[in-house]
Amino acid sequence: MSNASKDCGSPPAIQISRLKKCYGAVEVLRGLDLVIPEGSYTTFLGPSGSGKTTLLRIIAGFASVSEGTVSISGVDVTDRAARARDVGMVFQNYALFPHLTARENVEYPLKVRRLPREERRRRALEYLERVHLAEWADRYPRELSGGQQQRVALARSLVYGPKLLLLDEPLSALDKHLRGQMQDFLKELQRDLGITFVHVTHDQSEALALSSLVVIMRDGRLEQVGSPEQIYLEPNSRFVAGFIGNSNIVCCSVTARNGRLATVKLGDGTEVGVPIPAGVTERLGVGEKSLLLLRPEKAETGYRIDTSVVAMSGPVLSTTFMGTHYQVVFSTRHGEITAHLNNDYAPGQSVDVAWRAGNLIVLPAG
Amino acid sequence: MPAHRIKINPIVLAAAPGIALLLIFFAIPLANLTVRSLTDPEFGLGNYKAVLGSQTYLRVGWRTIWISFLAMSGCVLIGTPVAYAIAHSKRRALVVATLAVLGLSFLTSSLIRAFAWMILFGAQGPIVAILNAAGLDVHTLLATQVAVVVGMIHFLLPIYALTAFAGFRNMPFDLVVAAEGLGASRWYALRTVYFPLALPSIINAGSLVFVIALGFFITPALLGGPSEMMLGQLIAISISKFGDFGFAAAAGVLLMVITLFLLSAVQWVSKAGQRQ
Repeated sequence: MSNASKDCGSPPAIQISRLKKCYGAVEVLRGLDLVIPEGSYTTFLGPSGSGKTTLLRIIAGFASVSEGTVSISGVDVTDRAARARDVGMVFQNYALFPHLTARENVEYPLKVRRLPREERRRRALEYLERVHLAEWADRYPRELSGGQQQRVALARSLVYGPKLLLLDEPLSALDKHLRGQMQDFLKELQRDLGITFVHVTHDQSEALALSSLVVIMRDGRLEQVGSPEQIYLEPNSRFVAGFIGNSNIVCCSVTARNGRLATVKLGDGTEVGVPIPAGVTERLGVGEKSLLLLRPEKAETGYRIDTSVVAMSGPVLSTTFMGTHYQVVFSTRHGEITAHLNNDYAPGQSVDVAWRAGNLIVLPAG
Repeated sequence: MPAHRIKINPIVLAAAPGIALLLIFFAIPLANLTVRSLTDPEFGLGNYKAVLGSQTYLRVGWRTIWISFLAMSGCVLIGTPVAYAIAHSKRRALVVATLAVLGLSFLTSSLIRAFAWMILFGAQGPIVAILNAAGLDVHTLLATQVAVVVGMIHFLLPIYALTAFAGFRNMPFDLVVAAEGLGASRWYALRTVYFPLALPSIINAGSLVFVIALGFFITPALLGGPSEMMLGQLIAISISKFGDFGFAAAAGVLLMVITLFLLSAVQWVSKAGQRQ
């Protein structure tokens, strides 16, 4: 797991060790260890109160640590002021200076760095061009739309060439359509610049779409760190499974184990062999109560009943047309189950659905 | 014939007593004062000629503006950092203590505070003693411009600081944090981001104390000598000593005109500054 401080290669963009943060008696971050690789697009994902914004502010230098260290590009910056960290930050409310035009806003960090006037102007316009706002350079923030303000803020925090850009819920104030566009834009920008982006969000689809590394936080701890695929396919807890995508969760018990494969038994006696996610191997013992995760989008109809599938059937409770599929909720002896199917079903109609064993995920109940 | 029902906005109804009060006690007396300045003792601009035609009285007018300007400047210089500190400090005890001191001195009678300064500035006072010990040959500071300006700053500072504080509280301090994140020092961030945005609050509070200073009477009367006379004193003396109501009315109207003129000039300049 630890890819930290290998002797070869460049140091990680961010390395956090045993980090704790307390506000009075309240422990907001409870001992974090995290390595964020250079050039990655990392998202901190978690519900509000999970500590993700606090962690970002600590990396930026806007909040102090109670214990532990923060290194940026191999340099310990724990006690360094925000302005000496050379990190870009985009705030949730953009924090544009209302008395300065878009261009003057972008010039600000260059002015701080005492660049000559001409150079300042040239670079500010170059970055405004980059965010497609060159024609709006002389507008004041109040004359720009939310999306445009956002892009000015981006240009302002990139113009001085930081190696690291921190984004605090940058898309939360935008409408859904604009959010999609900005996601694509951010991803492209990150690829072009090749620098590390760290992006805080509470939107799981945003995290999956954007990142190369997802850090899931809960109650001041890291719940899981991995690629979007790992997080989605191999969640290591019920929390992560529930947070990423909607899931049906059914109780079961492990009856046998064979390497990365477990045989689990459902309440109705069905037995099925399922792969064990990498993160939970040690916590999944034979005989223990566990949970079986059935992703609605992995449901199939028209299958053959054998030991390689888990079948669910029952009367339909409701059907919702979602554009790409129908979301069908039906009642089974395992409880209410949701499946994404291609056909419309009337309420009361019986439906038979199955999940292939390979698409199932087993998790410890704890 | 159907009865007409007149609909009255309840807000207007609630404001009616206040509006009536303003009319009876402010608008009518003001009109009365203006009429009197033009008719007492006889119809014409005689009273205005008396005020504006005299070098002495003109000097009183200029001095009034000058001393008020000094007092306001002192308030801005001393009070702005104080207002900033109480608006943004995270040390609650310090904030509460400062607010308490400002509030209490605000509540203390200006007469008492002027008397206190008379003792401090007087011939037997500690300030003269200190200056003498430093080798300066000073007998008293009373009846000097220094005494008047210091006394007025003392009176006006709580008003300035509390008014500016009310404005500063709503300042977006996260912009200062953002500026620091972009590499600025705290001082640079304050100078380039906070101060320009706080300027309207500073101008408001400054204008307020300036206007109060223009018409102020007690402090200059007690701490200043005849050579430091301000317009307020001139008006008081022409009524109490000479019974010249027409002259006092003309001086009062002129004071009001000067105040309105200076205020609108400040407003105009600050609006132009914001537009730019």
